[in-house]
Amino acid sequence: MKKEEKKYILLWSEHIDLVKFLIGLIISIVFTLLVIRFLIPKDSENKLLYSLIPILISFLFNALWIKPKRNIKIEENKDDN
Amino acid sequence: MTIDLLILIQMVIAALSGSLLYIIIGIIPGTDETAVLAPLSIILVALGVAPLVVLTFFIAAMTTLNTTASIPTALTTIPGGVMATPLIPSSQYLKEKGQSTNSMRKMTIGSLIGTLVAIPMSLLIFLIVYLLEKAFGFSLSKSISNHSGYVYLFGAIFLSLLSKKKIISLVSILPLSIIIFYIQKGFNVTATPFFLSITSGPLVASIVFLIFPKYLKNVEVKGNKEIVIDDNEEVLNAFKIVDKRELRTSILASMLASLTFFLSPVAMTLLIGDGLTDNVSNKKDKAFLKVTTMNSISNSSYLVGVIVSLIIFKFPISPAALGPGGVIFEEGSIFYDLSFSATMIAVLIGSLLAISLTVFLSLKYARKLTEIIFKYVSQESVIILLLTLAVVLIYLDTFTISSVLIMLLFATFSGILNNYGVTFGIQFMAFYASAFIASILGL
Repeated sequence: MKKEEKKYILLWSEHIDLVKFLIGLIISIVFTLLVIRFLIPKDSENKLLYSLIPILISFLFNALWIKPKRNIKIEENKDDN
Repeated sequence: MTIDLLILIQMVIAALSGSLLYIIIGIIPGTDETAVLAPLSIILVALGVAPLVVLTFFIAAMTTLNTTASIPTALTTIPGGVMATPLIPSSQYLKEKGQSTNSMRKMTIGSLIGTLVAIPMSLLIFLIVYLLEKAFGFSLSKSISNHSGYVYLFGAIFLSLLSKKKIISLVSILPLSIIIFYIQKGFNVTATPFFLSITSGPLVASIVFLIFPKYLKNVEVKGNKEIVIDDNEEVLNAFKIVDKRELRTSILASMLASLTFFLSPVAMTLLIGDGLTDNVSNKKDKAFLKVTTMNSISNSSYLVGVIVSLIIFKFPISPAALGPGGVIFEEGSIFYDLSFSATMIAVLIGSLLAISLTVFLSLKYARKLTEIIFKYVSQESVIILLLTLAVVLIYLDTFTISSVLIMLLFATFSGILNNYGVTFGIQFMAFYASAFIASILGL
């Protein structure tokens, strides 16, 4: 049960992996800002709309490589009545 | 402004998409309402989406979020958001009794009642203010906008006096306003970065604090979080879920919450919710009554707060309008130019479509939805998404990294104040009052 002993951080009432979180955060912010700086035309009117594309790509990337730290058990509903 | 068919279709799409998106966000545990509602409306405004469509989206998102935040609370006893925290003791008791399915259903119907009561109550408040204005011959919205500096300053003082930490709240108004004034002057930032920094402040502060080993030790946990989700079978007749007493108490609670729209929704949920239900002796009946009533209060206080601010005061008079709806309620905002009927159409489409869709999906698929979201969406990816959105919106405001860094510092400061009990409402009032305070001080 080595995996269960892994240390996490409590953030917004959930268990998170601090190292993965920080790596994901830096990648996401740097990638998005670089795309805005170098790929989106400076005078573009839809700068924000184009910026949403790298933001969404980073979200999907993070959602894929950072897995939730939850053990889920489904229990039959036992009504007391 | 007239509403043509194209706008109407866009409003319906906005209501449905806002609702679907926030069903997912609502179920994700712990997400703060203010922090998750603010960025998307800011994006829609910045994209130049028609104000009526943005308003419909915002109302739908808010209604849905307040409804679905109770789903994980009932099924797992983890609050889906800040507004769901007062529900914890009752829902924990009901879960232990094997009643989490019933508790979730009653919460959902409570939200439905709150939403349905909020709309006529807003119109009633509108009528009362209209008659008072007619009788005394003055315009409330005009007198407020003429003296907005005083109103914001007294608003900050008033909210401080009502808060739990009165002294620190009062003392923080002045330094906070001065800091905001100098940041605006020195870095040329508009209001948006401040909305984002204040709303995400507590989150940013708790991340920055991780550099202190002592704090890090305090929040360290081992292994995955154990979550038990109760299975439930579907039910489709919404009208058989609450009994007469629950229906009556929820309607009364929603009406009271509507009248106290200018006060903190969480505080009112506790005050009115406990006040109206403490006379019940049977523990289980009491817990059921509490979860139903409290959900009706959170939906009605949020909705009335926003509607009343828009149609009567033309000024963010409620905490719901000050924080989550910040971008809609900026000074001189185009949303204030919307006519009464156009605003009400947006409110009706947004709230009614959202609550119908949410109630239907909650009663039918709550367990399945919770399981999928808990299984596949990590908290890390959601927080990263929120923070990246905030950073990008701040960067696009000035196109300088220095403004992003100064706002990060400000968000940390604002988050620390929040931890000490200076609420969002007080901080937003101080933000709005900053120019006025600076002019008094001769800065």
